[in-house]
Amino acid sequence: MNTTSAHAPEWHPVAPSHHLRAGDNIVAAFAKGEELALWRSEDGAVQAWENRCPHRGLRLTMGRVLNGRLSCAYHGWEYAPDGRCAAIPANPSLPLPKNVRVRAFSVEERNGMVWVSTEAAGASPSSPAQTDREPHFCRSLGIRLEASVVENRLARNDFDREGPWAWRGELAGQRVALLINEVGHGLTLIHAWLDQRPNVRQARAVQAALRLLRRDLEAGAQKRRQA
Amino acid sequence: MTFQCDDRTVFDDWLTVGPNKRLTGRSESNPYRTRLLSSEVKIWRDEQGKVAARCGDSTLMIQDAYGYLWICPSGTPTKPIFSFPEYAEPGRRIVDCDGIGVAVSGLRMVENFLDMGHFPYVHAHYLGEVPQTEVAAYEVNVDESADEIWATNCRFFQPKTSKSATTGLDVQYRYRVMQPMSAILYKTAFPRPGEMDAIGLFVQPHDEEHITAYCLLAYYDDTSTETDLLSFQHTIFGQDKPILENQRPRRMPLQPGSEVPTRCDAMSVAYRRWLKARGTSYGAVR
Repeated sequence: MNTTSAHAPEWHPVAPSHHLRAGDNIVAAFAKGEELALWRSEDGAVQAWENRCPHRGLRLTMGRVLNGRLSCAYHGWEYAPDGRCAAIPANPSLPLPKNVRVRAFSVEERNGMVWVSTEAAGASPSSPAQTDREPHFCRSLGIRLEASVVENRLARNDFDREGPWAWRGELAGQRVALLINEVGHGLTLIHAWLDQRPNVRQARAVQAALRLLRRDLEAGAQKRRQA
Repeated sequence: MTFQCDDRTVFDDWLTVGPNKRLTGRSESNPYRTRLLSSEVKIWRDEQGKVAARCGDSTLMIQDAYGYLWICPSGTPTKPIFSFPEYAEPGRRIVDCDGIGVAVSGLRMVENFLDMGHFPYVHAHYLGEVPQTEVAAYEVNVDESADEIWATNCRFFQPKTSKSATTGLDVQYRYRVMQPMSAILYKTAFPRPGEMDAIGLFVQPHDEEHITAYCLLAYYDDTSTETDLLSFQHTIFGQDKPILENQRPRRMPLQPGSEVPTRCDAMSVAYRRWLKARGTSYGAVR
């Protein structure tokens, strides 16, 4: 079974699509050492920006989306979806600086998940969940391990690699897709999806199984199978 | 060297370690302990009432000024402590607001203190209000003889400039940077529009990314209670804290181009240039 690829894939699964509401909220996310601010413009397009205002370095996730622009919480500087600075409220009569723009990354949405490439160009991500059903988002959980270690241990726990950062397996009798999100600094997020919408009892069982999986992964333990 | 600091300008400066009221009930055997430049310092008053301080086995140069304790880590200060004439001016009320811990570089803290552009966003309904966001042009000068920076002719419309303010006011400001980590701002006193209140900001660097920011008021205000004045000032500082702790990086970038200023940042630009020219690097990106 293939457990590690020769090159780290360059697209990273960073957040479920439905967490981003058009022209509304800003979501913090991570991709391989980069801290991101995600937001969805009014036309539905997702923006993945470096989480840092070019003016004084404030995290853009502290800001808000106003009239289709991201407004920084420190001085109200506004950035249009193309990343350009579109307003400086402290100097409203000055022409806008042309060269001020937020650093932006490539974004793709696939099967309900936002994928980001921290490199300028690249191939589209492989579909994380090869299913004709709409996958059901379960939860994201943090694992205090490097992503490569998480992947090695998933392989030892009867999960199968389905694509870059994408793993398939079973938890509490449910088919799951686990998308591995390398945060950096020894932290990895697992975004867990279910093939089918669970009932309340099944959802509780999967949540419990995920917590056990986290414990086993962090402890380096071999597979555990629930009754 | 007992301190972790290779920046001579900070090493030879006067750094605060908090208000002198910390020494109440303290002695050489039971000193006030605090952290400065990554080392623990012990401070007490001897039997003559004189302040004394030690770091490890080394005796430190310390003085008591403006109700605050000041240590010169190297023992060879470049200059005497800055003047603060308003502290002793008759008619002013001195209120020590004590400190608030912030996980940021001392330089970022001082820059925030010198900034009017953030008033309507970070201090909405108090020190500013959208849509009155414009920062009018002001003057910045470096006083070469005192090695201080001044910003003058600053003004900003404020909905509630201080505890005693009952209406909005077009407030005049002056800013003064005496040291990399000490500054005073002067602003129109609401009860006496011809006079200016003074607010001192003294930063204790625990290390390059952790500070306590102390605040001392020299106010014209005969009506507000001390609790009200403290509460107002802590409300303002409490609004700045989450902003300061979410700046990336925590240290101040001094390389031109790493952050983009605009015209209203003239004071911040002058501050960064002054730091760079005098070789201050403690708390800066190196």
